[in-house]
Amino acid sequence: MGRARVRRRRLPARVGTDEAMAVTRPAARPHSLYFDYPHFDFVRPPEMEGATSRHAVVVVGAGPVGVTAALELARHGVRVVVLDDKATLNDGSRAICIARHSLEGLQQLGVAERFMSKALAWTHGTSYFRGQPVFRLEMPHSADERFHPMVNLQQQYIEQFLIERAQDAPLIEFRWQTRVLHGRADDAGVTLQVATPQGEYSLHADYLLAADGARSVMRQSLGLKLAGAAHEGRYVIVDVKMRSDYPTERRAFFDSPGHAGATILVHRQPDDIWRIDYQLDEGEDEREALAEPTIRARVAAIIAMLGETAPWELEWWSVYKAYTLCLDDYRHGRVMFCGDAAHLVPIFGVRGLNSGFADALNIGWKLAYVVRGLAPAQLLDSYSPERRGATLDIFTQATKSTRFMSPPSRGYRLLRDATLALSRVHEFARRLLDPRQSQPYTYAGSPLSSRDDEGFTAGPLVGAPLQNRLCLDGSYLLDHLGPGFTVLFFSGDGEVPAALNDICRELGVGDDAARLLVVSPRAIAGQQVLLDIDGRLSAVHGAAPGSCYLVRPDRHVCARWRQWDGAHLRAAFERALKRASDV
Amino acid sequence: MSEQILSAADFEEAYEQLAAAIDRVGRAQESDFLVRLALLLMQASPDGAAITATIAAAEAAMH
Repeated sequence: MGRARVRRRRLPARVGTDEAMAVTRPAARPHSLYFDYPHFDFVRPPEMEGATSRHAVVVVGAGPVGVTAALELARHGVRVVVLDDKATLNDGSRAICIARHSLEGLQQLGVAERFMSKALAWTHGTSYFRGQPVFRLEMPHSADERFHPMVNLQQQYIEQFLIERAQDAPLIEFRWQTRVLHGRADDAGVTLQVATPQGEYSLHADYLLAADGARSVMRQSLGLKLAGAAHEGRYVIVDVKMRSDYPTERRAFFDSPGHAGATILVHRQPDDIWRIDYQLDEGEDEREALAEPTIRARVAAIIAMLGETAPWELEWWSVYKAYTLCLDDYRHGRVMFCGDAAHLVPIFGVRGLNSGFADALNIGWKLAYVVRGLAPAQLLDSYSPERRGATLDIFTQATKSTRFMSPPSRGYRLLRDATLALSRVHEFARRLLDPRQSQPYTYAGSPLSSRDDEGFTAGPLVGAPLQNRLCLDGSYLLDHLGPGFTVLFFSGDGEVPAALNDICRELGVGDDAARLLVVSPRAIAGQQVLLDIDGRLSAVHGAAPGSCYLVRPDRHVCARWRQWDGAHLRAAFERALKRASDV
Repeated sequence: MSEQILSAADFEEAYEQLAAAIDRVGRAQESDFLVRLALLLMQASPDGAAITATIAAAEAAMH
């Protein structure tokens, strides 16, 4: 239902409504050099034909966060209506770095392979100070990992792949060219007034996810404001098309010959597109800085500094300033905020979209369980402490990164430059150059988590996501998770206690039993076992025969025991759904 | 010179404190402040050889 007819077309300059990042293209070529933006037609909804309907969930915003949330809701059997005011994708490559932990979440939505077929993977980076290399970034990676720690992919591809997946999901209905004018929510539900090319109508829903970006209309409608800080430094973001054999890695230049005093970041993207971020000088006029001749001159100097000699073309550019802003609460009754609608974080460390994905996956399963009547509405109360907690942790990390990238005062600049100079020789200084790339967040102290078992000396902590480890048959651990909760049981001989099988059936939600995933060095007839002959899976989980992990639908561990216990397992499951209190 | 005496967290904390202190004393007095800080840190160190090596390392990093 509601699958939009897609006509592809070149996108004119300055299309899109996200004023937080106004995209500009060269005057002589107001379309993308390499990407055909689709056109999504407006389809008259039943409400405009006089029908009265009430939707279980409406998602406002068909950007990557909104569509990810819709896919997660649909994965759990909930029908979703997605509204977006545009007739196409967001313009420009925008957020290009996707972290491993995001790919692991996207794998569960069935889109990770599509991403990986296009994205450029990377593990390394180099930092330069006044033209000299001073730090080599090496992100942990091994043959046991399915995904690289980071991949680069333009946001329009991210959106395209997610939307195409969602268009194949019968439970997801897109309503393009539908702009939310205002919304109101009370105990009974949510009502939206929307504008379309053919007039306005009202829309009613039980719950609403606001993924409508930095200038969220839903946030304004509810009278909510982001609170926090603005940071020093403005950056111009430019994409250029250029052939180069330079490998995919993160390059950071401090006080470089290409732009004295400024910081420059360079990333490779698919389709021979290169992202260049450069810092504007203090007091520099923004209008002048964004004029095409100025952009061309600055980019030419940077490309010359890089030693590149191939011809290049400008794709698009914009300007960016770092903020650490968020809502006090991400849940307001029946309205939940996610992504940029809930928080704005600096780009340094690539946490914006990656934390948005985590928001969507977190609220997706919880809202689905509540809508299906499988958990009380109090389950939704855990969304804000978990995801706002993650935001505040990001703020701490990102504030340090931002102060390093753009020192806010002479004191910070002296310290930063001294650290860079000492990094050439001294290991202790190099630690401060680590860009603190996006990491998965551990929901420590979550109201859904049980107390950790102190007997563990390894493995993901309670609140942390399960790791996607290589299995002996070439599959990866996360391939075997169920759509709902998973009980990961470590067996010495492949046998499973009959009582554990019974409990897993009891722990089912709706029609689905909790998936029992057995890890053992031995296989036995009649029992599906993930073979662990060399004991590596057991070792990385700190497990002994009889150990057990309870894993949420978003792959975060909510309880674990060195020796399983039926009563504790039952209680932990009830707690993870807010059907019981303390365990 | 010896490396890794402070933990990463303590080093980051000291970094922040020093940056803020430099800003508080102001540009006109920052050199005097940093020299006085160096003297106080020398006095706090029990290892004369380490101080000598640290001075040499800082001097080398100027080039």
